[in-house]
Amino acid sequence: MLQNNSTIAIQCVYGPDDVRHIETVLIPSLASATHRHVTLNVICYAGVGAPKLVSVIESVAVNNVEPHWTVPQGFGACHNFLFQKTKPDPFFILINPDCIAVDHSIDNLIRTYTDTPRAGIVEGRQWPYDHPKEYDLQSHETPWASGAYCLVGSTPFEQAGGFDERYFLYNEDVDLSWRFWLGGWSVLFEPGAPVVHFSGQRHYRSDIVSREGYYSIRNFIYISYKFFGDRGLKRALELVSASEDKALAAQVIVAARSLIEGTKPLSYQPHPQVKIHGINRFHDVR
Amino acid sequence: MKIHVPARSKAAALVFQKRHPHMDVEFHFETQSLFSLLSTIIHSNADYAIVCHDDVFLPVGFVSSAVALVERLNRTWPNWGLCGNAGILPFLVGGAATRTIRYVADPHGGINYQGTTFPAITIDGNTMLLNLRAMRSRGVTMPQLPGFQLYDAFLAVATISAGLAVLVAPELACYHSSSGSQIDFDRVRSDRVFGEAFGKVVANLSLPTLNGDVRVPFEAEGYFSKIDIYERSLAVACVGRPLPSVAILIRTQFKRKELLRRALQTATAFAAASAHVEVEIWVVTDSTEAAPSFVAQHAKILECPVTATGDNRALLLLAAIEAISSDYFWVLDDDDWLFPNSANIVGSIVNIASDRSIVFVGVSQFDEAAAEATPYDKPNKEIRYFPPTVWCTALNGINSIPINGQIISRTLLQYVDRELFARIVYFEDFALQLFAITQPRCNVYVLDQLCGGISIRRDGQSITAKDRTIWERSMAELAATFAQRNEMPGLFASAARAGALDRDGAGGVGRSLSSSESRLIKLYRTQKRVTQKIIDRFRRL
Repeated sequence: MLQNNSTIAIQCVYGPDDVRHIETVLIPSLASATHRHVTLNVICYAGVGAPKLVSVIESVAVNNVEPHWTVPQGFGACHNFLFQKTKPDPFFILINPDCIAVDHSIDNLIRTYTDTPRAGIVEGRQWPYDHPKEYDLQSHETPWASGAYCLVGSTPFEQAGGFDERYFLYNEDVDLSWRFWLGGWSVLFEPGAPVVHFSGQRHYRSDIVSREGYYSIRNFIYISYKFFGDRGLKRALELVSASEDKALAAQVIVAARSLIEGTKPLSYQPHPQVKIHGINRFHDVR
Repeated sequence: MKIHVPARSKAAALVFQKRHPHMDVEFHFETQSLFSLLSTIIHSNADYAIVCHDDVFLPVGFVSSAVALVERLNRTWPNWGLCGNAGILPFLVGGAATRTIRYVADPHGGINYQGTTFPAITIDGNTMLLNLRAMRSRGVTMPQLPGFQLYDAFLAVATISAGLAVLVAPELACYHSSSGSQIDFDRVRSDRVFGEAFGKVVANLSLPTLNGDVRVPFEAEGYFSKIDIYERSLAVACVGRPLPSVAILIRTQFKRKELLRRALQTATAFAAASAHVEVEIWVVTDSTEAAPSFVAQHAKILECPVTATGDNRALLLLAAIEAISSDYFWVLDDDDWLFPNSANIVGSIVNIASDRSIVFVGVSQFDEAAAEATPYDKPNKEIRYFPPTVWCTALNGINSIPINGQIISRTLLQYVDRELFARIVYFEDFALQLFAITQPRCNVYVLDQLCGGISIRRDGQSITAKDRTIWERSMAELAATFAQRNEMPGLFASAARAGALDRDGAGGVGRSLSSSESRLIKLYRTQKRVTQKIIDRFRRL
């Protein structure tokens, strides 16, 4: 049970270009996002020799966890490593390095978590560009939670074995959410816990393939196979093959097959929250 | 400085020599590949060289201009590697908001700009100045490809990839009597070999050149270690140049504290993400109320007591510009905010801009139904994007760029008429633009990316006020002032024509909407919003 004056653990995976934003914007915002003290556990995905972070805010202490790798690691691998090293309890919060926490937002995430029996993940709302996915207005249940800003229960996270590191980037949050649902834990959306996250919308470019554009399609094929077996794989391949950019599609399919090789799908368990409506469409649109 | 000319024949060489007596020219005959020739020239012992076509006509004094250009580039663009007289830029410039700069006359047309050096993505090979010493030290390498097409684009990409700047400069201006062979170019650009060669270096799926775009096939292996040619061409051009200062001025009376906090946080985020500039954030106020405690975490405070009664926003702006010594000014109102996504590009453009410049960036209005106390309370909705590419319509009397879409150099702001600012309340943003763009040697740079947000709420804002008296009085003063000035009268008339007719694929200026068209679009948008709300309500039932 979380005491009112307990220190809460926040995890953030950053790159060398994120240091200034984290120190001058994110850390000060965390101080007003909760009345509790914060330990910000951070690690640089780039690996050894990365710049360290410093906090000048009394209520936010930074714990620079030392990476041991020399090539960049993925989102899931870094967060799993942080979790193993810091053992947060009873929950921890994930926040992306380019976010700005809004006043009382973290306290609102915690309240929803503690008020909901068997809550596994509580996702905050992103501003200015909201993920327009469905959620139940009464229970706040939602099919999946974005890893950019969410609270995760430590027990279900440990039971589930953490993030699936095969994804590297993108869709590992959907995967975790679905495994929580299948394990009897709920995934919630809390609109009263906003975070500023400048991503998407007008800033997508058509002249370049972004990491999101590549990995999310590759990982869509993998997640379809992992949760829906050969049937899911077949459907995913059909959808991706039909997309406009044939050259990209062909290479993504090769990469996805390589990712799938040597893995087995989970035993299929139908669940209303575990669903695919299209390429990376895992929800109805709100 | 030696001029290298790959000559098609002895006869062509003789013609060139006759046109250009007294120039130190080395002719290269029976060249099968300009890629190989450039490779040979790069690995020669010389520090600098000019390479040009055998059908260019260089003006008298060209070589001494080129020597002076080398000295100027070494001083002001110390990281330069390659320079041409025509090229494609990583941003837009001028009234037509074009990416293409031509300091060359040829059968396609004449020059389209004056007096300014720009960083480029690719250049035309008709006349090129090479910094051979820098190229050798950075290991600039040409691929082993045949023929006489795309060698200039490859040289530019190789130079940028090696960390050196590619520039377009007016000192290399000349006449090129050939219009080139579009058929040959089209054949080569659709050849997969060339596309794949580019694809080893650049992540971009399309590489723009003056003859057309080259499609670059996507290759997953090592993709994310390849360069984005737009960002990289700007970044390398900034190396070694002094850092200009940019003052972000946030106007406030401390009546909207949470909105002010958002403005400050996002401005700080923008500053953190910026490159190649020094950003300072200022809160500028005429209020006697004490600033909230959070202000000092983000900004310096400038108190400008203004003695005039009523709305002092215009005079406040002027007072701030006079009090703060910064190279550039970027004004936000306290209910605006910034998007830091393109901060590094904005900073790079400001860095390479000439000293009398204005940079226009994209901003959007967002419908924010929330009360002012909680700016993040509900999701907001983008309702209107102001493309900076239409800035020229200001010369048609259309205020198309909001105040937070303009970054103006101090050297242009010194021409602001203080008496006008004492008479107007609104349209001070429009006045700033007009004073800036009507100055001789004003350079306009355009970045068509979303950099700012404007909050539209139900009430409490001047922009939504039903009584337009103050607006109309301000416009009367503005129109009278500018009609009676006589700086660039021809500019207004030519802008009206450009606004009506011009649109090129690189981002030209479109036609402005008439007031009845604007009203129809507004009505359509309102009906669409209402219909969507009804549909959403049914969904929730």
